Amino acid sequence: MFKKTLIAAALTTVAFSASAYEIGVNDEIAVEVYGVAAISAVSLNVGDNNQELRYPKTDADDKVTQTHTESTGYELENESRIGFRAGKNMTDSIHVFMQVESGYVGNFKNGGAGASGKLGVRDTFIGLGGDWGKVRFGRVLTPMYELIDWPYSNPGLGIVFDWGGSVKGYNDRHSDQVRYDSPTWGGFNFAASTGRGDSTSSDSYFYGLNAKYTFSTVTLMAGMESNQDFKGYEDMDVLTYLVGFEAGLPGGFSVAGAFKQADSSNSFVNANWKEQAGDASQGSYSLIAQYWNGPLGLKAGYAATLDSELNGQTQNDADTVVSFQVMGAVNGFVPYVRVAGRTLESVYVDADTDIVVRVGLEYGF
Amino acid sequence: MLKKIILLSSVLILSACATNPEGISSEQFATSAKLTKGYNFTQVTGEKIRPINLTEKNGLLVMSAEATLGLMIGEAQTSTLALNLKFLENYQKYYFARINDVNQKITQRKETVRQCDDQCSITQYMLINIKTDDLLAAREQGLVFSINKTDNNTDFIFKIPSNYIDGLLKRYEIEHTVPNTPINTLVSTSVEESKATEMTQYWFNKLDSEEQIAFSTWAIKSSKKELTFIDGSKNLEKLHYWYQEATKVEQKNLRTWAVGNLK
Repeated sequence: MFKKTLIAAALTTVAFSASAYEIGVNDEIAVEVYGVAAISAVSLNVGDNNQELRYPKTDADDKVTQTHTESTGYELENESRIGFRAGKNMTDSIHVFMQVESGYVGNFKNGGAGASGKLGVRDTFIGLGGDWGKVRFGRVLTPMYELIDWPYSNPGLGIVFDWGGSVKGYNDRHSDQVRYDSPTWGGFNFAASTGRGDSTSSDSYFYGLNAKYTFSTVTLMAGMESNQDFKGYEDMDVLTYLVGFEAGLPGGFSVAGAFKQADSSNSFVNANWKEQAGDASQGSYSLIAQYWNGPLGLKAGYAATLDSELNGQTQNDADTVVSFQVMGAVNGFVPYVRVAGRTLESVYVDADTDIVVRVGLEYGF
Repeated sequence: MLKKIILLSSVLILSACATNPEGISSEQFATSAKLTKGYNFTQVTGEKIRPINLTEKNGLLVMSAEATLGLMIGEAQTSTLALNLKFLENYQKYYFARINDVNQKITQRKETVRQCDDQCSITQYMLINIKTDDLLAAREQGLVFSINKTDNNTDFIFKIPSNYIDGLLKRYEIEHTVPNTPINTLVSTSVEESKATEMTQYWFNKLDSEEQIAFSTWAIKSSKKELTFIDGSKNLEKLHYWYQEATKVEQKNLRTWAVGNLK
């Protein structure tokens, strides 16, 4: 059955390839298959550091199974995925479109072959669009997280600026969401969304916003997200905001920077992704410089969290990451080599710097 | 079953690839082009190519660009360029194109796609109108155009190479009924000129055999040097009037036609 489905999908693509998915032209709904081929080899602890974990690993019976890190050598991360898109005009001014995208098909952390590669893991939605903007229903990035993810967590800064830190403050790719993206008016546009944080918890909701204003080669960005009963934890209310910029400079250079702040009331989700009592807050920032000379690019990034505050007390848990990347853009292919140094006080006791090396290739088709 | 999958996969891969136009002859592009004849137009659609990227160093990065030109010859004389432009995400959208200093708003062919892995990219699917006359003028040098945020900016710059444009025009010419006729005279066909042909044929058929021969002889000789028109009937005068209304190309066709339609 699976093979039949594949062939049917392929035939559909071939049949529509000449005029695939043209708005207002076809009477039929055109479907296209797309995806990303992405493979990288990564070693997360080249220096073979043996660091003490702040939160020792435990098994299902809360029995401690690991207190220190150890180098496990390199691994191949296959972040390839596949998806389907379709669209059709409902009226002259309303276009209906949909997307279904799989998760990464690779074998991550011994999760099993293809364990995360199910359809619907990544952006999967039904949307309406027109000159008035577009609204999507389903699983998409929250507006503020979209900015955190890009440009402020690349190259390799996500361990600190994205999912890192001691006070977790926002959703990322999230289901049960309604998101509106405006058109651009004189360089300004915005996105707003709302949805259920954890739909099994009656009071768990979130509201998010981002806004971007472009003049010349400069884009100013801002975002916020408010969560009630964050991730379903009762009375855990979190407000996070972000301000940032990106600027293109002459000669192929560009720079970007952002600051964000998360404030959690009553309780918070800590660095170990567990609920912890108390009012907590933490700021973080990211700075990136980039240079492209034809198809060759160089990128450097630095991100850090500030020491968090817990019930008014400053904690000693600031993380930093510095990263350098050499990359190319060759007919849609992006090969890259990255070296990063991570010092993660929120994860290790008296943290040392781990050297991370990643070599990869990706291609969107 | 495996063979089917491999075959289908290869079709998909082939259909997805854009050709690098460098080193491809115009004859090869003519061969791969598809020609469609409509009621009052002929369309020649070239294969998907990678346009030449002339974008200056301004912080913009083209990750890939694919272009398909649809050459339109006929009453409308408006060709179209379908451009799939994938660039590094910079939170800006590009809705304007400029060709020969003339700005136009780009038509969005389908929803813009944002795709992220290690790098985030935006793919805009654009439809750009190009005057067919601009393509005729670009046959030898290629056609440069820009894709811009506003009609005051110049952001991405591309060139459709001359060998590609030449190939599509060659395909049109080889398919056309009149041999050795340059494209720039063929595309100037108009409704009035067609009427001239029609009326010439009408009045020619009204003549008797003797006058048909006399007209045909005069028409052939006068194509080489100017001759006084022959005396004859009122019908012959009307025939002369409409023959003079026809273009040179039509007159050439009419001479051939007349010889083949003598009574």
